[in-house]
Amino acid sequence: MSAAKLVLFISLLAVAGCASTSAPPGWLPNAEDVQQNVYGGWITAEIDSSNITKKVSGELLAVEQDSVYILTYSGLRPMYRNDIARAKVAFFEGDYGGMRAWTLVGTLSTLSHGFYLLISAPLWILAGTVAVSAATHDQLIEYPRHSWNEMKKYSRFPQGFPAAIDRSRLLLR
Amino acid sequence: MHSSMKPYLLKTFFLLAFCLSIFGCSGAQKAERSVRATVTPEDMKTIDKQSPFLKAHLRDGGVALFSRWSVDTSARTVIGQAQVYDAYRSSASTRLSPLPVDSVVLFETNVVSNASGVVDLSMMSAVSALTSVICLTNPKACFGSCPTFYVEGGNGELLQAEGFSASILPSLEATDIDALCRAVPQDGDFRVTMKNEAYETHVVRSVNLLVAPRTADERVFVTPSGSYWKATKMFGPDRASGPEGDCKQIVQSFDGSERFSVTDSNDLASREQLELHFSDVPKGKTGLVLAMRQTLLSTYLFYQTLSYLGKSAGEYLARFERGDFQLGGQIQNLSGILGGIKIFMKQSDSLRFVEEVSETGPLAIDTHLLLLPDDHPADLTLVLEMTRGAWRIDWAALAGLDSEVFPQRIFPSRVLHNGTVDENGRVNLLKSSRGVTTLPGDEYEFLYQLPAAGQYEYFLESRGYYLEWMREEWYKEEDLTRAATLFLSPQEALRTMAPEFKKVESTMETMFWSSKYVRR
Repeated sequence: MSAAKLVLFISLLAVAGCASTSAPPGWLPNAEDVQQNVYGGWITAEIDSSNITKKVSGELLAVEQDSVYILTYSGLRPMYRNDIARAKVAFFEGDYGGMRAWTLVGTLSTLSHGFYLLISAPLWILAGTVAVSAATHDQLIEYPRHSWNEMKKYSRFPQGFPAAIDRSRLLLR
Repeated sequence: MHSSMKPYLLKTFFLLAFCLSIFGCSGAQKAERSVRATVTPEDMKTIDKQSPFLKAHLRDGGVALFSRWSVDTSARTVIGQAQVYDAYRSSASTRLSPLPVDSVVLFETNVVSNASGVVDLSMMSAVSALTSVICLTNPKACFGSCPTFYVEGGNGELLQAEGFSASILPSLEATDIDALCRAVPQDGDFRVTMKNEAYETHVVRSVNLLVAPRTADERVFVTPSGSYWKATKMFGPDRASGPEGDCKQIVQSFDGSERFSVTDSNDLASREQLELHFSDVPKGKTGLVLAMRQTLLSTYLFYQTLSYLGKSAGEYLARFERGDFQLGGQIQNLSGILGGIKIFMKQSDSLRFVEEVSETGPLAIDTHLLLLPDDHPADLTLVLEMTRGAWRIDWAALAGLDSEVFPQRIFPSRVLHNGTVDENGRVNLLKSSRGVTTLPGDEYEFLYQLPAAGQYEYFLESRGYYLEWMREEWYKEEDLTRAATLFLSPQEALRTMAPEFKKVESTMETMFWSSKYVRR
C-alpha cells in the first residue's frame, strides 16, 4: 500500500463512526468557551408521526413537562415532546483534527517497528478510529438515549421557560 | 555499502511521534456540565469548585455569569463579580455584590477536560514510541545476517535455515549446508522461500536441495566436515547440567526451548562448560547430535566492529578483499576467541578433545553430527565448552550410527521472484557463476521435484556472499583506536566492551526480531 493510500485509508477510518452536528459553522462555542456561554445548545429534533417526517433545528431554549422550546431562524417553535421521535443536542464544537493527525503520525511511526508493524499499525488505526469516534460523541446529548430531564441541562433556560417573557423579542443569534 | 534511506528524516519523524505521545498534542477537549438546584445549604456545598465560572440561572430567565466566585453558605449568598444577562441575552451588565441564593433557581458549572479517547491514544503512543526509541537507539540489535530460508513445517512455513552467514565479503563466498530437520513437504514437491529481510545485498550463486532416503525410524545427520550418516537409534542424556544447574529438560528434545546463558559482566570471552551424561551407550559408531544457533553476541561484535571503523569500514573491507593477510589474521583472531562449541569426552580425570562445531548466525537452528571416538565408554560423559552467552542449544542427543550415506542433489525446477516466474533467475542459479542478487524485501520461491515417493531427510545447500549496508547511526561511534584494539588485542577489547554489551543484552533478541525488513 502506498503512503497516499495509507493516509486516505486512515482518514476514512477516522471519519467513519464520527458524530456530527447540524449547527451553523461558528455558532457553537468550543469546549473551553462553554463555561462562559449563556445560550442553549443546538438541537435537531426529528418529528416522526404517521403522516409527517421532518427535522427542526435551532437553539434549545427550554424543556418543559410536555413541551420543548426551540428558537429557529423563523422564530420560536414550541413542540410537543411526544411528537419528537429523536433529538440531538450539541453544546460545544470539538476540534478533532489534532486527534486525526495524531492517529496518522502514530500509524506511520510504526514503520520503525520492523516485523511488529504487522500488529502495531492495525492497532494504531483501530485505537485512533475508536478514540476519535468516542471524542466526537462528547459534544452530543441524544434523545431517547438520554432522558428529556438530562437534555434540559443544555437549554438556555434549564430552570424552565420563563412565564413573563416576550416571545417576539427572542431572536436566534 | 551505503543505505539509501534517509535516517535523519526518519529520526525527525519518529521524534515528532514521540513528542506527540508525551505531550498529547491533540488539542481535543470536552466539557462536562452539572446543574444544581439550590434549596438547602447542603445543596450549595455540592457546586463544583473546579469550575472557574459559575452560572446562576435566575427566576426571570436571566443568568449571572460569575468569573470569580465563592459561596457564603451561612449568609446564603454568592459573592463575586458577575456579568448579568437578561432572558433575551440582549444586554449584559456587570455586578459586584452578593447575590442572594434565593433569587437563583439553578447553578450551572462546566468543567473542561481532555476529550474521550485522548488517554487511550496517549497510552498507545507511549508503547509505540518506546518501541521506536529502543529500535533507533540500539541499531546494533537490528535484524541482519544473510538470506533466510523458510520451509513448510506441517503447520505453516518455518524459518529453517540461514545461508552462508559467515560470507560477509566476495572473497568469503562459501557453500553452506543446513539440515531441514523440521521440513514436511506437501504434494510431492518441496518448496523453499528465500527472503532478504535485512539491510543487506545478497549475492546468491545457488540454492539446491539435498535429499537422503531413510525410513520413518531413521534420521540422517551431517558432520561439520560434510559427511552424512544414517542414525538408527537416538537417545537423550540421563543428566545435563551447566553452571546454572540441571538443564536436561531443556535439551532433551528439538522443541524450540533453548538452553543459553548470559555473558560475563567483565569479559565477553569468558567461557563455561555444559556436561552431558549418557549411560549404557552401545558399542559401535556413535555421534553427538547438537541442534544450536548463535546468540546475538557475535552479531553485536560484528556490527560494533563496523561502527568503530565508521567511514573507514569500506577501506578495511577492501584491504581484506585484496588479500591483506595481516588484517585477515587479525580478524580471525577476533572470531577465534569467541569460537565454536568444543566437545570433550571425559576419561577418568582428563578430558579428551573430540571436535569443535560452529555455525555462524543467530536466526535459524542448525543440526550437526559430531562423530565420537569408536572406543567411547558405555558410561559416557561429554563436556561442551563454549563462550558464555554465545550459544543457544535446543537439542542434544546421542545417535547410534548405521552407515554413511550420499544424498542426491536436486536443482530448482521452478523459480518465482516476488510472485512472478523468473526463468532467467532459475537458469542463472543453475550456472552458479552467475546466480541472483537480492535487495531488502526481495523474495524468491524455489520448487524442487522430489524423487520417487518415500521418506527423506532434507538439507539445503546454498552458496553465495552478502554485503552489509552501513547505517548512519553506526558512524557516530567511529573510533579507529578502539577498532585497532579489537584487531590487535581482542582479549582486552572484549573485556572493555563487556559493560556496554550488558546494557543491551537482555533486550537484543526481542529488538532483533522486531526489526526485520518487511516489504511494504
